[in-house]
Amino acid sequence: MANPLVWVLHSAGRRFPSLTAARRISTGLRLMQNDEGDESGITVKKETPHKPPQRLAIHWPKFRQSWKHIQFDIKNRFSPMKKQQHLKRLTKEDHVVYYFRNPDDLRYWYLMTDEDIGGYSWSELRQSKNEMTALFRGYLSNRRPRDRLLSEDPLAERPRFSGFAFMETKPFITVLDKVEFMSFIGFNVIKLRIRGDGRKYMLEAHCDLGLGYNLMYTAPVHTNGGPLWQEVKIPYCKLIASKKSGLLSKQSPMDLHKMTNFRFLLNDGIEGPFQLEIDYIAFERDYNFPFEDNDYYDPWLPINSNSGG
Amino acid sequence: MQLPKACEAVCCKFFRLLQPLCKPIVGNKVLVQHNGAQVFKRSINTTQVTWQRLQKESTENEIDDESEIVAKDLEPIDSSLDIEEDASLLEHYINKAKHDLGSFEDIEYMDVFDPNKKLYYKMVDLWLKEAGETRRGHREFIVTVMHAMSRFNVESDISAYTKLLDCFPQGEHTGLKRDHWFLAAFKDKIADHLLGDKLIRLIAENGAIPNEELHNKTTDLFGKFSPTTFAARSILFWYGRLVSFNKYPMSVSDFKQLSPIEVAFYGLRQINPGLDGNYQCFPVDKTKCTEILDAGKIDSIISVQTPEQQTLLAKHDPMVPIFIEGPNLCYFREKTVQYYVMRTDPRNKEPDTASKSHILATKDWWTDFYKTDWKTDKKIQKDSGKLYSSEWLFPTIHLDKNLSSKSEIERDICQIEKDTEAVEGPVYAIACTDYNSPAALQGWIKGLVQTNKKLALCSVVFREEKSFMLNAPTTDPTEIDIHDPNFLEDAGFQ
Repeated sequence: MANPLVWVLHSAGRRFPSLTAARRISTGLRLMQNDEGDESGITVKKETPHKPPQRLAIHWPKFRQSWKHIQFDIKNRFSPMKKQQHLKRLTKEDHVVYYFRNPDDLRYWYLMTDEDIGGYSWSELRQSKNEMTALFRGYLSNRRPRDRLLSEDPLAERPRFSGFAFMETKPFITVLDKVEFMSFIGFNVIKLRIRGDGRKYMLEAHCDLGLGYNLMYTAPVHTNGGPLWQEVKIPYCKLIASKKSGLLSKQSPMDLHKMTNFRFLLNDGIEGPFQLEIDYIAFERDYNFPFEDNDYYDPWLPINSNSGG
Repeated sequence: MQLPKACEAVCCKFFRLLQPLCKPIVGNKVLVQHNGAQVFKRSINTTQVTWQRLQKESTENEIDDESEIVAKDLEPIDSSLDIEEDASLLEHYINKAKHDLGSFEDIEYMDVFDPNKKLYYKMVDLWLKEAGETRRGHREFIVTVMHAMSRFNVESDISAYTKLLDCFPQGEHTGLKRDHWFLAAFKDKIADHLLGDKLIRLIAENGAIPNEELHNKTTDLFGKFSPTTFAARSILFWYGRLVSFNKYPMSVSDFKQLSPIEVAFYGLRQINPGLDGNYQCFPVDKTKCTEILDAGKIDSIISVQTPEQQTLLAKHDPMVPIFIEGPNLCYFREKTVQYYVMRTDPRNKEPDTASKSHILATKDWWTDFYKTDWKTDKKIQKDSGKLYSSEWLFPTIHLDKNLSSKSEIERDICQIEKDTEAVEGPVYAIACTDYNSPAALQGWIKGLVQTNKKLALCSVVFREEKSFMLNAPTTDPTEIDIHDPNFLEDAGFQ
């Protein structure tokens, strides 16, 4: 079971699916090497003519990947119903979406913190000592970045700043960088098995409705902390539609055919270390909850729609 | 042109009457006589003030390194009471209210026992009396009071926030109300609406429970089509639904008044959930334990054990050692709780061969071989969910029918659920202390022996593990620091 490779993803890893264990590149500094051994210690390189990078007419690796997906798609469409994966789910009671028994399973996730904005919190994603679960841990700091320092003008606004960190699934790319949707079809409930540290994490599902209209369906997960595992059940009807971490007054049910990403977000505002251990993420069918409705409605719809909120 | 003397006298009188309007400027501030008290009002041109202040500071403190800038940012800047103007305003009314406590009009607040809260309500009442119907200076007063609510311990009382809504000018002709969906766009006084919006966001931050009274007051004041009432409606709708995700909600003021032992209790209730948990507090033998703790830390041991864990301990084999795993951190809202765990390593579960050796036949084998029932010796029929198997005229009730037949149903979670049990053993008890030495935990074992008698026979070992939460680095350990003098050596250059 023990794999000599230890996959460790850091928050400096970006959204590129080809990079798995990435590090931040220092852009400000360029080191000079002393080739000839001058006394002054400085050498100046001769100017070479600028060569543009080689651009192929056809990007063959991308074409190879997309050809595989085309073949798979053709096979799937004309195969019987029992073998089609997204329809097979209707016969299943449970369906595990992500689990971390192998270290290779971490390549489906990427991390981000407020370092991109100039903040000072860091995070990492690695396999735990069990070699069965994933560990998302780091340090969250509320220290303001250089861009957002407060002014001494008493009339100026003083907005609050809190650090954030999240781990998100990479989108599935099929044919020529086309983003494929995840299928939430047939099920009713998202089930998690996690072991946290007592903090409030937000589970989010990203919905792409086209033409730049993106919604995040969020739900808070209050972790217990401690050595015992915690099973959390979140039905689809309890996920709240939000835009840029702001809950909308007009709630609509989730479009199950257009979900792209999963995300675990930490946005407490509490400065300190954090740790979240995930065993599996699964779908389940529970007949106590509705299948197509949302539990949230706008009781003041005729007024709220005119006030422009 | 020279005016006649009579006209001059009239003009001088006229200008003397206008004198109160032309106030003298003291420095860059404006003196205002506000209901008997001399209060400094903020000047309009503050950019001049700030520029002069910054110029002075830059000459005094010449900053060479960036580290000095960093040290300044860490100081709290959000408190607006550092400004002299606001502090003087509040203290004026606080002092007045202190002298006025105990008067006949305090019957309204007889049910408020906390003197700080009474002072708050008294202060606002006094300002309302002095301001009058016009409520002059209401914006400054409301802003200062909003920032100073923590001093009065009034954060989680919704009546305190509705009291502040009385400080806005009331009436039909103030120009504040937005009652028509179209005409609301042409109305004035957006600053008051935004102030009310800030007030309602404060309610959401502090965790106060909103009322119908809040909504009714905002609609009477600001109208239906204003951002304040929209915020009041949204908080009324969402507060209960967001709190339901939390199992143990608690208000901000109650959380502030918790002692460290109460924090430990609530933390353990969160870590070890169960209604039947046995919570106990054991003392620490200070002759054996030489560790000294700070003032606010927990000196005793608070332990928790559910009856399920008690039965597991009773079945424990005394030859196998029990481990106490080292200190680990857990959060209870904003505070941390340090806990220890008593557990064992898992055993490889062997099948019970003794029971199989005596049995010659089982039910499963009999039905597969003979295809008859074990007891009645009758033939087994298909569609056994039928109640009346022999009478085909009656309707059949298929109790186990699903979308597909039984053999095709797949379940994924049950294949994965129990993988961690093979690696992690069962937990017997959890305790909370601030001691870091194993000598202090002997008191815990002594106390648990009273209810779990098998513990006396077992050997308990302290297993020290470095937890990430207690030793977490604040900066990324893999990051390369360019300004570090050892950077070049680590990178391989001379």
